[in-house]
Amino acid sequence: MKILDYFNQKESTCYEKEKQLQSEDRNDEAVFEKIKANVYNIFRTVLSVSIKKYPNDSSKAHDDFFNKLDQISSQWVIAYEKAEQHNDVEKMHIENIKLNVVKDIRETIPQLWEETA
Amino acid sequence: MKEAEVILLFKCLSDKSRLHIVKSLAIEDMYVERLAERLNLSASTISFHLKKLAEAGIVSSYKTQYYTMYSINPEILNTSIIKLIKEKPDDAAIQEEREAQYRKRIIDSFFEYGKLKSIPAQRKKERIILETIVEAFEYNRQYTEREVNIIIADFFDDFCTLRRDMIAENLLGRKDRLYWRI
Repeated sequence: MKILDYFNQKESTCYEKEKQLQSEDRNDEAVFEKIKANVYNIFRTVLSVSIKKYPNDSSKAHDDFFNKLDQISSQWVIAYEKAEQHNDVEKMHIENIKLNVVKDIRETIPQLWEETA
Repeated sequence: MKEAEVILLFKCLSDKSRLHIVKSLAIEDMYVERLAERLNLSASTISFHLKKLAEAGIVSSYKTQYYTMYSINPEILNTSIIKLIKEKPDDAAIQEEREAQYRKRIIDSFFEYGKLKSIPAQRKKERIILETIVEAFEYNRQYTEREVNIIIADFFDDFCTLRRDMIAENLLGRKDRLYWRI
């Protein structure tokens, strides 16, 4: 399935970057790539669950997936805002990385879903 | 410089991106976006690294009309490595440093942005938490119970438990419904 391929590819790209950054002694940035990979991994799992839940109804699976995406990422938005209020630059950066992955998923998945359906 | 500070300094500089930031700042003072463009990193990544560099005392910042500028701290960078290595902390200083690190770990794990997340079960840990909260009270001043509750409630909703524990730990004194810091 194209969508699962997208997640797999994104995750493996992040891991490749992580290794590359580690080899360049850019360890914190390597950790950021790992965070991205973890987020792609989380939503790949969420997608698998949604598809399993509605095997014969693509539209319901789609809605279920995006509901979960909103639900999970809303916590990261709150965490980002809280960090911003306290000028916690480190935390803000990490939450921002997670939210950028969510943005990428949100922009990519609808088209892939249409192509798959 | 304390041993922990020396380790922090070396750790901080053992990252290529941070080293590049320091190299750039050695040429001239810069703001975040300029460093981001120069090093081909996102502005938030640069801010992340600058925070770490500032914590290690390697860089400092100052505000100009439009930007926050960052500069290197020559005092730290001019220190010779041999001088840093040769510094021998005495036993009391090592112990004090360990204790300070332990306290920091406890405070970091039980507080989030100044709010207490939960009351530690271990007495030693709770004592550290109470000592942190009692800092909000002034010496040589008497507080009514209501004032005490309001101050503690800023940290944690269950102010009654904390108030009682502060008295039990001899951090606050109480007589005739008045409280003071010991």
